[in-house]
Amino acid sequence: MFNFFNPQMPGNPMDFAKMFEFPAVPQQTPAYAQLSSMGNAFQSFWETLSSGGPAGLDSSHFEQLMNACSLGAQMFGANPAQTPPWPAQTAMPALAPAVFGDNVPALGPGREWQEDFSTLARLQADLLTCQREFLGLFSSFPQNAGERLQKALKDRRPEDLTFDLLSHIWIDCCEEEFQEVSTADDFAHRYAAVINASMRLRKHGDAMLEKRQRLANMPSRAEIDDLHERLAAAKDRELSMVARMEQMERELRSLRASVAKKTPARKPAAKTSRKTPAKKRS
Amino acid sequence: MTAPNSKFIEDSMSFQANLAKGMAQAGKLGEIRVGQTPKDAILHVDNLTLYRYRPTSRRTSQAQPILIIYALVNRPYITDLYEKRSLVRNLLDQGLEVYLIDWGYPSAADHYLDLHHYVEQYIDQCVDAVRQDSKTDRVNILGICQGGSMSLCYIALNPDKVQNFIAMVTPVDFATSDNTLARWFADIDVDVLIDAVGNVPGMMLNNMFLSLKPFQLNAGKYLDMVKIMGDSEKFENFMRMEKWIFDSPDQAGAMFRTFIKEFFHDNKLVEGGLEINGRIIDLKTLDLPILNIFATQDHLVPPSSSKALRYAVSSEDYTEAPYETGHIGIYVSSKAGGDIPKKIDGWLQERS
Repeated sequence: MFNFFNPQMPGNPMDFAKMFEFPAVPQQTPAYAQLSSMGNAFQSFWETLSSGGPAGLDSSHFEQLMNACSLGAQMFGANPAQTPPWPAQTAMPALAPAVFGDNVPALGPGREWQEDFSTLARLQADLLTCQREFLGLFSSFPQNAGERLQKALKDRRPEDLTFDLLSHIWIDCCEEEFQEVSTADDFAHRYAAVINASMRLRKHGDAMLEKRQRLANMPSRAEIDDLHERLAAAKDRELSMVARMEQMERELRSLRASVAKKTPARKPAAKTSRKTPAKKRS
Repeated sequence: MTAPNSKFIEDSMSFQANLAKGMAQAGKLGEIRVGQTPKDAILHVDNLTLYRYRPTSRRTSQAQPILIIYALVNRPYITDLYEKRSLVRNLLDQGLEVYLIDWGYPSAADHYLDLHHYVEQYIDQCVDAVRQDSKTDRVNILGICQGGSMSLCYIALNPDKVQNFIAMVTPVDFATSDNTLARWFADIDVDVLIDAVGNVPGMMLNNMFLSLKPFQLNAGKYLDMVKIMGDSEKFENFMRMEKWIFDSPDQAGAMFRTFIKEFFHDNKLVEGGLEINGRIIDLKTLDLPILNIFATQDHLVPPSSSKALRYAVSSEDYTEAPYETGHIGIYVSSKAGGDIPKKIDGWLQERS
């Protein structure tokens, strides 16, 4: 029988697998070693089974097989607490950058949920970055405001300083320094970046909540917004119709006026000698 | 560092004593009442109410009635804060008929209210109601801040209904170099903002306005407050201002989106291209008399933004009236508050 898994045969499937199934994984990385160990565990199991039958299998074969399966499960989001620690600690971080880039995709029903969470995490990280950059604009603020205060107090006698005066001088110095920082273009860009990042995060959070509400058959904001939009459209149509009606009324009044001008006044009926009313015709 | 001098210590002790006295006074304040000049509601449309103020003077002006159109971002009772600081009352004292649009508080159901609803529906209905109520063909419009910008759009579409226009701290050119607010709005993705929040919370805009002068408005103001806390009248007036500052309505999402994009980002009011339901807003078609009142120390609407009105319109009868005060002081400061109504009445009498 052809021993497909015979490592001595040329074109061994594992060699093929290593060439074609792990194309994105560089050979010198831990990720490659782990994938190889998974493949080797399966290969070893089948080699033994195919050469010596089930009698050739021992507990070590099964242990290797189970480790390989758990490592595979780790790669696709399984609970690390239920598996040996070393695959959880090394497999995902090792695999993700080389194989999957910035995102770690999932498969099956959990795919959408994982993508939502990945996006949420990324947006949170974006917001933190923008906040850090914005606050960075004020890194020299205390020092500069302090220098302004020193300059403002330089020519003043200490004995003339009251609490009220000193407080206002300090507030004015801080305000001047703030105006210096806030009128720069960089401030506007970073301020807007913080607002935009926090709104994107909020919008995505709302979208995730929306999906869950729909699953639970609960009314959601999007549904209410949709109703409001339809109400607004209906209101616009009503206003448009009212405007057309008013236009038509104006035209009608104008027409009546022009007809009244053109129509001569009716002459009054001539008096007759009849004393009794004319009989009605049958 | 030398030890604090005795004056400093005395002053800080005095500050603490005033603060303690003031806190006791604060407990006796009760409800803060604003907008107390008697008025009657003559029109309700959705959240909006149109008020007609009752006359306070036997004197009657020859001028047409004034319709005050305030901004959406704050409550209009700043024009009638209390008896001694009331633009409305001072106008009434001149014998003028005064009407005011109270925009109310938008709810989530108003998310899709847009510029055309405010200009073509609400303002137009109010103008028609004023014309009917006062039995006049034309009205005078007093547009304040964003209300002035909306008024300009309205007049461009309905020139036959408006006799004279008074602009008060009205932004016209949103791209002047000293417009900090416009610079801050420039990079904000308003589509994502509206998608995320629906209506823009009033508090969010408030925080942005307070951020223009954060130390003065969040600290300095309250240090000065301690000095007046012992005087019940002054403290109550301070609290009226506080109430107004933080009583900010939410902004209808669609309207906010349009205003930021068309006015702040694209500056269409002066650059051209602004349309409302397919009708072009061209300020050059405005040839009615215009009185442009602005504040020289306005940090929200810089004078340069207001003064741009002169060249945006084709009116030959154009008058500027600068006042040495800030954006809010234009209606609550004693000097401006006393002078402006007389100026408005005198100006209108000549053009009735």
